[in-house]
Amino acid sequence: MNRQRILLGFACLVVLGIVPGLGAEKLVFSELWDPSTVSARIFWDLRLPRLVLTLSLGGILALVGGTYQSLFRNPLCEPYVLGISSAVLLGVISSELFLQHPAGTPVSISMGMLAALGLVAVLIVFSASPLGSPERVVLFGMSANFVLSSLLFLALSMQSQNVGGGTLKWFFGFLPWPSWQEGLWAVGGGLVTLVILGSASQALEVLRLGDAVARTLGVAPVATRNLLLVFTSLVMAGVVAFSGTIGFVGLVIPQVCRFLFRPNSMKELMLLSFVMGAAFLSLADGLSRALVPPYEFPVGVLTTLLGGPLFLWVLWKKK
Amino acid sequence: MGSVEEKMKPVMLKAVQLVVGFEKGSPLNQVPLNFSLPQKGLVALTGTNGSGKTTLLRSLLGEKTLLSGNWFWDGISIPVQKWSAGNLSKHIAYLPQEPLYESTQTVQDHWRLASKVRSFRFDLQNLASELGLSLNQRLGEMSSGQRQRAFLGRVLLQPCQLMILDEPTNHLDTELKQDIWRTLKQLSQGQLIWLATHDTENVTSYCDEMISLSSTI
Repeated sequence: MNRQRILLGFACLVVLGIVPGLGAEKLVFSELWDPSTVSARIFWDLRLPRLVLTLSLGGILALVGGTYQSLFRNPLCEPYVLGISSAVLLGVISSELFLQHPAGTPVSISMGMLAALGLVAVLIVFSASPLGSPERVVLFGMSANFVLSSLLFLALSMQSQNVGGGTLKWFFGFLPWPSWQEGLWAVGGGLVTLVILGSASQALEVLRLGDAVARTLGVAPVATRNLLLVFTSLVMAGVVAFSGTIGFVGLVIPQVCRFLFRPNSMKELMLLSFVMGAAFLSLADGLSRALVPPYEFPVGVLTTLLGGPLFLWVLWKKK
Repeated sequence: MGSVEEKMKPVMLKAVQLVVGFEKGSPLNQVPLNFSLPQKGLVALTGTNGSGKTTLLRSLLGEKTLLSGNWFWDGISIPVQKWSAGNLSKHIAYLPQEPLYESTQTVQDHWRLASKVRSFRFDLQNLASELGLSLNQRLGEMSSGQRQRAFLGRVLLQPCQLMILDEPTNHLDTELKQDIWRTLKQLSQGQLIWLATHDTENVTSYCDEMISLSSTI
């Protein structure tokens, strides 16, 4: 059991060491400490903040995925299952179309968050009565997702006529070159998410035993689920506004962690997922820049290409 | 509803005019249920399949299966079905008929979940060996009999005044059943245990009282 964990730690170190070196521009190692050189500027001002961003986003995606799988008692759940991403993107694109505030601006991010909260409110109201069961939340979320993504396609087709191109990136995920400030925001968000979901980990384990048992163990099921829904939706709204929908990290990483490390508790699973998700997304991002330079693939294509076979391997081994 | 002999024992839980069933479904009992449960002892809940045993038990636990009537707990004015989870956990421990579980969890991790409430009643290691389990076994890698014992262990560990067990001897062979019945009998000297069961033979030899539901009521 421990050997796998040591390997994960080692893999993370390798990712940290290699990924900033990947990209169209070859870095000269000896120039990194001289701020006037191109290598140093690319390394310190572009690739390091980007690495910090991908580590945080990857960690968050895996964490939220693991949380949803446990919360909804369904191994197929991933962070986008409830339609949050469609809602956020609809908000972001509406702000660009109707308010002339392009993606990434505060107005656009606020619109995205508002749309996510609106969706969660609808989910809570519709799925809470009469039973409030986790299955109902997922079913409502999935149907909301269908409706919202058709609306999104509609908005996108309008947008591409007006503004032109670039819309596919929202669906396959993309990563900006963030400033240090943005990168540190993402780190803060990642750590807050880790602490809050980590502190909810025992409640999640209790909820896993069913609502009636959870009550006799002191956990109010509906209230806990709703709180977690609101929190994770806000987090995901932030993630989507930054990076579109990056598929597979949230679905695959928690599953792979379960299989590889057989963690004893939800807390352990969360920590492992966070670390592995961070390393996985950063590696995918590095590869997306390094495969056919100077072209950069949407990172979601890489996560799916890497994650798909990984998932199949786990399923194969598990049978 | 079979008549319950009203003895002069102190009452802990009282059912007043209960009608149970599912929302938008027809009620499971035509005649409202009225009975009371003592502070201590082993009480059986019997009845044919579909007579509403599980539904009745769950109506105590905040599930919306109470169409009308109230559950009253001695000295507490809010009906039990409206209690907060915090309040429920101080008084009631519950074993469902088909417990949900995380298959990668070990017996020890599963039992630890009961510690969220208060400190354990038993030493984990002792309880495990008494139930013939090892603490490091994973729930997903056990036989259904072993798993049932692990679930029972979780409930036995949780300090409570009322233990509600839905078919606790499910999946157990005859010898183990006897062990469990004896353990429950012993525990019931100090608290109330209410259990739904089809095990009529043992009900007559171990239980102090019996409440029976029939679909013809």
